[in-house]
Amino acid sequence: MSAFALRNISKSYGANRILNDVSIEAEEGEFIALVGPSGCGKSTLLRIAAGLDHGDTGSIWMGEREITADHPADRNVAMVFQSYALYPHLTAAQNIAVPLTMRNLSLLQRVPFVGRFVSGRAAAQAAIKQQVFTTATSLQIDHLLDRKPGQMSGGQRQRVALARALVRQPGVFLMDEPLSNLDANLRIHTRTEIVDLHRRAGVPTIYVTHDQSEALSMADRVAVMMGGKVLQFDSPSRIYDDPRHIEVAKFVGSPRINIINAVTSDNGTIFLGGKPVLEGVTGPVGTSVHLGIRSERIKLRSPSSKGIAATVSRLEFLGSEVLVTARAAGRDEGLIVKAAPADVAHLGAGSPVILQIDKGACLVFGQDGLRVPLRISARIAVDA
Amino acid sequence: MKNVALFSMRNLRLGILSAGALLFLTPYIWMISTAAKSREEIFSSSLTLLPQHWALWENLAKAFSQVPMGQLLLNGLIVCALIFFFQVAIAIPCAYAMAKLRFRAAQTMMTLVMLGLLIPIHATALPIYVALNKVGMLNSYFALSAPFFISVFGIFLFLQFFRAMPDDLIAAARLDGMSELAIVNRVIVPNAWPAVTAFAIFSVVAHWNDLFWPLIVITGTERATPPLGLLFFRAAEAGDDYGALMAATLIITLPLVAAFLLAQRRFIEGITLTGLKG
Amino acid sequence: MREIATTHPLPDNRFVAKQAAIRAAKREEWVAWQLAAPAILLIVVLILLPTLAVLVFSLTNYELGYDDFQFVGLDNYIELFRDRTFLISLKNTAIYTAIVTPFSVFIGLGVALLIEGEKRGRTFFRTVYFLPVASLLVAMATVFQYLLHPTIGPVNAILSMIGIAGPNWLGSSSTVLFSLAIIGIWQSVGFNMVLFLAGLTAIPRELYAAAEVDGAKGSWERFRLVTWPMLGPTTLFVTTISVINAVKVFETVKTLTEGGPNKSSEVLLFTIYQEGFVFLRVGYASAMTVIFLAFLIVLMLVQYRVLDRRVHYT
Repeated sequence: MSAFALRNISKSYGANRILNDVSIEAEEGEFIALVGPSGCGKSTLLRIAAGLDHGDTGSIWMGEREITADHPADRNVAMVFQSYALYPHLTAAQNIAVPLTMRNLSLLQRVPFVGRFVSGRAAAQAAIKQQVFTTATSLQIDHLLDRKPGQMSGGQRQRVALARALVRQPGVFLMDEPLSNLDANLRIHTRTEIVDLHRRAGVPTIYVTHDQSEALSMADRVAVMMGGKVLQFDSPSRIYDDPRHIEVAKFVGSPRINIINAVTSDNGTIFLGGKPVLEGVTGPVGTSVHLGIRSERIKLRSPSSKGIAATVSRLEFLGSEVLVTARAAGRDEGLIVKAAPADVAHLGAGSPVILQIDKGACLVFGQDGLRVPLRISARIAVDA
Repeated sequence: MKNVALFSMRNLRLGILSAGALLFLTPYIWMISTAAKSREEIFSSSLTLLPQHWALWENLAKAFSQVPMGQLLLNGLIVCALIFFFQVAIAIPCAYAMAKLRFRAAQTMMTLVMLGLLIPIHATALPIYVALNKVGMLNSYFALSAPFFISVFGIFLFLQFFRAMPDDLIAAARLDGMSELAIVNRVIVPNAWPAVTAFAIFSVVAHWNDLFWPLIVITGTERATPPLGLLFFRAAEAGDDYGALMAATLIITLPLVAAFLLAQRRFIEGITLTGLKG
Repeated sequence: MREIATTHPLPDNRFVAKQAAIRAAKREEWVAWQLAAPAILLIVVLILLPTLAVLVFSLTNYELGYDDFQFVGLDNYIELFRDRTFLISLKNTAIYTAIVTPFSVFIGLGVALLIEGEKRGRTFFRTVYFLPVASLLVAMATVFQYLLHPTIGPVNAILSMIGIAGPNWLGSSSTVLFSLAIIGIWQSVGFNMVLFLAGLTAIPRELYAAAEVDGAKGSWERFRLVTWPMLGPTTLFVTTISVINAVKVFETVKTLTEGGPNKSSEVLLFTIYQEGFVFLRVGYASAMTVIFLAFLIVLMLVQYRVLDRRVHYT
C-alpha cells in the first residue's frame, strides 16, 4: 500500500477534459515530480490532491484511508504555493503557527482577548511556539521570525512557506512550482535544499513543475503529463533514456532530442544521408517513423572517417560545451551535436564533418508517438 | 532667452495657483475673523481681518449656550460610526462571496449592485420615511443610520479590491483549517485596510455632511446631527448674529477639517480611489 | 497502474468523487449565500422595495396622515406639468447645473494641470483646493451668506471701494442662482481636481517624450496631443459626476434661500422635499421623485454610451 495515492482521476470543464484517468502514487518517503507543459493538468491534479478542487471520478488515498470526500483541512496535507501565499499581515512566526493554531486550539481559545482566559490556551500556545521555533531553526530562518512577508526577500519568503508546510507534520507534501519565482542561481541552490529537507522529514512529496531538469534532478520518480494524461511514470533515468512516448522524449533533455523523420527499408533499416543508421525496426517495410537521438549520442569526426557526411551550419558556444548544428547530405533538418569546445575549435559554418550515431541510443517512435520496439535479433549495423 | 521665459512661466503658474488658493481660503479666513469680532465691529468694519478687541470667547460661549454643540458633535459621531460599522460588516462578507466563492448568484448580485449605484437616498427617502413613521421610529439614531446600512458602493469597492487578492492565499487558509468566516475575519479584513480606510473616509465625509436625511427624520436638537443643528441655530438666531453663527460654524466644521489636515494624504487618496471606482 | 484500477472498482470511485465534488460545491454555494444574505436582504428592503414603492405611490393620491388613498393613474404626472412651481424648479435646476458643471470641471482640470506642472508647494495647494470637500457645506454656506451679505458683507464692501454698487446676491431673484452656483463651484472644484490629478498620473511619461520627439514643442501642443485625449475617460466621468451632484443641489438652497426669493431658487430636490416632507403629499412628491430618478438614469446611460463609442483608448 502506497503512502499517498491518486487513482483514476478524471476531470472535465464542460467538453474540455482537463484530466483523463490519471493515477499517481507515492511510497513512504518518496519524492514524486509531476512535470509537463503549462495547461497539462498538473496543477489541477495537485489541487484535487489538496481538496481545493474535486475530480469527476477517481479516489484519493492516504495510506489505507480514503480522503476523496474530506475537507482540505481534514486531509492532513500541506501545500507550498508558487506565490507562497503567506498572510501579508502576519509575521513569519505567526504565519508558520497558523496551521497549528487552527488545529490545536479550540474555537473559543482562538477568540482574540477572550481566548486568553480559556484554560489550556497558554500551554497549547507554548507548545506551538516551540514547534515553530524548531521548524524555523531547521530552515535557518529563526532570525526572520518577527518579520512580515513584505520585509523579506523572495528566497526568505519561500523558506517561510516551506516552514508553514513542514510544521504541521503532514501526511503528504504538495508543492506547486515552489521555485519558479526565484532567480536562476537561488533556484538551483534551493533544489538541493528541498531534497535534503524531504529526506530528513521522510514525508511523501508531490512536486509540480514545468521545468524538466528540476523534475529529473530532484525526484525519485517522475510523471510526465500532457493533455491531461500521464504519458510515463518512471524513474528519472528511464524517463530520459527509455521514454515510452515521443512527447516524453521531446519534453525532457536539453537541447531537445533530435528527431529524424524516416521510412523503414528492408529488414527495418533506417537510412540517413545514404547510410544505414539503424536496423531491426519492427513493422512492415515502408512505415514512416521518427528516429530520436540525443545530442550527446552523436559524435563528430573528421571528414576522412566513416559515417554520415554532413555540413556544419551553426555553432553555439555554451561554455563547457558547444552545440553544433550539422546537416546530413540530402536532409533539411539540422542535427544538434553536443561537443567539447576543444574538439570543434577548428570548425566553422560550412565545414564538412562526419556524424557517427550511437545505435544503442536510438529511439524509434511510430506515427502514434509510441515507441516502436526493435527486433531482438537486430544487430548494430556496421558503418559503411 | 529660453531660461527667462521658463522662469516667468513658472512664476505665472505659481501666481495663478496662489491667487486661486487665497480665493478658496477666503471663506475660512472670514469665518475665523468674524467669529472673533464683536457684533458692533461686524457691522462697522467688514474688511478688517483682525478684530479691535477680541470677542471670540463671548461668541463661542453664545454658540455653546444656545445650541448643545457637544450633543450635536456626539450625535454626528454616533451616526457616522453606526453607519460605517454596519456598512463594512455587511459589505465585506458579501463582496468576498462574490469575488472568491463559486456563487451562482454573483452575476445577479452584480446587477443589483449596479442598479443600487444608480439610486440615491433622495429617491428612496419617501417610502423609507413613511415606513419609519408607521413604526414610530422617527427621531432616533436608528432612523438616522439604518437606511445607510447597505452601501452598494462599498460592496463594489471591496469587490474590486478582493478580486485583486491572490486566490492562493485563500486556498492556503483553507488548507490551514480556516472556515470561510475565519478567512474573512483573519485573512481578508486584515489585508483590506487600504480599501477599508478609503471607504471609511468616503462614508464619514458623506454622512457627517448630509443634511437631507436628518432634516427629514429628526425634529428636535436632541438627535440632530451637526448640519441640522446648525440649521436650527440659524433659525433661532434669525441669522443676523454673525459672530455667534461663525463661532458655531467654526466648531462644527473643525472636526472633519482637522481630521483632513492631519491625514490629508490618506483623505485625498481615499476620495480619489472611491471617486474613480464609483 | 492498470492493476490499481482493477483492485479498486471504478463505479464505486466515480460515485465518491462526484458526490464529494457536488457536496463541496453545495457547501461553498451555501456559505456564499450566508455571507451575502444580509446584503441581499438590505438591498431589497432599503433600495429595491422603496424604489418600487415610489413608483406605486406616484400613481396614487396618498397623503401622510390619511390612511386611505386611491389609484389615480397618471394624474400626478399630468398635474406636474401644469404645476408652475415644478416647472420653475426644473428650469432652475437646469440653469444651476449648466453653470456649475462646466466651471467646476474646467477649473478642476486647470488647477490639476497647474499643480501637476508645479513642483513647489504641491501638497499645500492640493490641500487648500480640496479643503471645501471636507468642510461641512451647511456651515460654509452660512459663511458665504455673510460674505455675500448686501450691507455688511465683505464682497460688497470691496465692490463699493472700487465704485460698484454690489447686488443683493442671495436676496434678488436675478442673482440668487448665480450666487448659489458660486458656492457649488467652490465646493466641487477640489473633488474634480483630485480625480484629474489621478488621471494625469496615469498617463505614461513616455507619451510626452514621444510627443516631444515627434515635434510637439509647446506645452499647449503636448496638451492637445497627449493630455486631453488621454484624460478622455476621466473627463467624461468627472463631467457625469458633476452633473449628477449639481442636479442633487439641496443643502445650500435649504440653508440660505428656502427656494426664494419668489421661487427663483426653487430646485428639484427642494421641491420634492417641500411637497413630500413638509406638505406630506407623498403621492405627488413620488411622481417628482420618479422624474428625478429618470434624469439620473438617463445621465448614466448617456455616460455609458459615450464611454462605449468614443473613449476606447484605455
